Amino acid sequence: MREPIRIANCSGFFGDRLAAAREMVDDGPIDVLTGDWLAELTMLILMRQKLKRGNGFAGTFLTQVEQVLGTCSDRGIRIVSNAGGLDPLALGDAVDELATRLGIPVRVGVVSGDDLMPRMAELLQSGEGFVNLDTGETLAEAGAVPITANAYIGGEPIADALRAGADIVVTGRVTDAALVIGPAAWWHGWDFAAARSGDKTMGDALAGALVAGHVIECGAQACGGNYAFFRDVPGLEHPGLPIAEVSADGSTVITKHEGTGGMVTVGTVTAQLLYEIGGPAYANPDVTADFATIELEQVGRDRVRISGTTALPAPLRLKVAMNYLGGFRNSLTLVLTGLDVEAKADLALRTIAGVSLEQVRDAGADAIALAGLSTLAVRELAVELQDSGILDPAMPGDAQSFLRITVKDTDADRVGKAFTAPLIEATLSSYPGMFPTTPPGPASPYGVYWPTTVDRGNVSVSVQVAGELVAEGTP
Amino acid sequence: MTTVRLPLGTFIGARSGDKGGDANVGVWVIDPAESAAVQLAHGQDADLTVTSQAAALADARYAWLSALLTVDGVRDLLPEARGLRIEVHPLANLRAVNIVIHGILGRGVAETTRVDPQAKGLGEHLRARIVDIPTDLITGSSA
Repeated sequence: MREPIRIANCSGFFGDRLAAAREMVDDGPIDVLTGDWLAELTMLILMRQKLKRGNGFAGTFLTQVEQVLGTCSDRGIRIVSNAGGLDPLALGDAVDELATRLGIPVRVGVVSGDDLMPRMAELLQSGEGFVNLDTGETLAEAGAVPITANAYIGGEPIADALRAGADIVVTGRVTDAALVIGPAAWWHGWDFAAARSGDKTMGDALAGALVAGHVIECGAQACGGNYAFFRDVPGLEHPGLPIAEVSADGSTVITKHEGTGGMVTVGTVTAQLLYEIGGPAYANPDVTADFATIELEQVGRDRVRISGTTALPAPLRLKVAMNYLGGFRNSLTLVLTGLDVEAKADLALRTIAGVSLEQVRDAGADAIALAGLSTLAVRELAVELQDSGILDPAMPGDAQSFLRITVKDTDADRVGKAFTAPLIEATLSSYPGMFPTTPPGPASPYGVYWPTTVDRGNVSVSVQVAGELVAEGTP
Repeated sequence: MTTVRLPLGTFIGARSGDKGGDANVGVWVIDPAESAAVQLAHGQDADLTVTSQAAALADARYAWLSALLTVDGVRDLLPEARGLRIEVHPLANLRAVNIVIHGILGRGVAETTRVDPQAKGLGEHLRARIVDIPTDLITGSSA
């Protein structure tokens, strides 16, 4: 039985601390450097980037690889990242070029096949309705045309790439936790097929790694960042990032490098376990973890042991994240100072949008209904009044309430100047003290997230290492 | 039973986030070994052994929290969630409760008009709500 594998996280999102890769490699011993670059919104951001610049991967990853590649190569540290985004093959090529330029020989592995866009027409024809998990609508019913569509892939192809000798593995849309499951499975020789056929030991090991992956996927959030009891946390100006020491049975110790800021306690780990989850069954393409079985124990300074996690069967269908262009939006926020906040808001709304505050309240969250009552020629109108509620305000901040008005339409012009100009024109003729928090801006495009699923048989994942196909098939 | 009006966050942690148009708020009771763990993190000596008394206090706090955070309880504490579908999942092993509020973020972070489009602050909002807390659950906290 091998010793635990030390898997470090160096990124919780596209835009996280650039120096973190170097910190995790330089500040202590690790076996694998991983990071998550892909939040739900990121795929949309990368699509915009692809349309502008021609590539759809997270370029900051290359900067980080350049900083750590020499050390990782010397010390045998593998790098596993989903920074490939919409273009894992292009990122693989870019890493290869970078390594060649640096004169460091590396074998680059690429996991691809998550992108369903090239096969969208075929999939729709074959009967995939891509039913929205929240609303139950099919894509066709909503008249939505996706601009991104990526199936969430698990850890198995990452393990395949590492087994085939990849020093660096880049992927597209794999689950955040797959970045830990894959390396742990490779290190300990876990058998995914056995887990699928009901081998409990193997399933529980994978479930343990899934939990470990979930805990470290959001960077410093496991080490006291974004933590309710932040006043207890030392060195939070610059917390260390988390490391998962995953044992052969899937049990894990979460820790961080010695001498770094932040802390790892049962509290910081619990906070992250609960982040962005639903019920106790936490699904991943490889396995589902039963969160009701997790046991946490503080076993030392900045060391929390996670054990007891048991597996449930993996879901039959793969989750898919789609985005389509919803249209254009614009917002302006008016400041309402001092007395008569509601009357001021009411006058502003009647002047700008032809609706009363009462009508806004009656409409609740129904922005389409509110737009229908409004004189604005827009599809959706949303109004939020934040009343400071402070009597006898001594300081300016106490005296200021805010009226935020947001409009959306498929036509950019209707939410551009057609929306902002009448609002600005009213500033000398409406309620006393009227001004917006920012100058009026142009309409901006917005995406709509479409969570759905796909039949596993309709997805084919490819694993290439050093340009050669080493595995291919249904995930 | 005497009670005292204090913010929920007095001994309850929370972290919130988004999943598409839904938000979740994970809420937990401070672990009995937490104060020792914090002392260790500050480089001080501390004993991680949990006394039966400390464990019993955490259990009592969790029982109280679970009774408070029913679907209706969540609607009272977060009026913003009224009219939305709410799920409450107890996780007794973590002395935690996970709340899922469906549709509070419209169709996701890029589409929603909410000021806090990813519900990052929802957990801290919940912790700021003032509730009647049994005095026993507070006084025990200094034990």
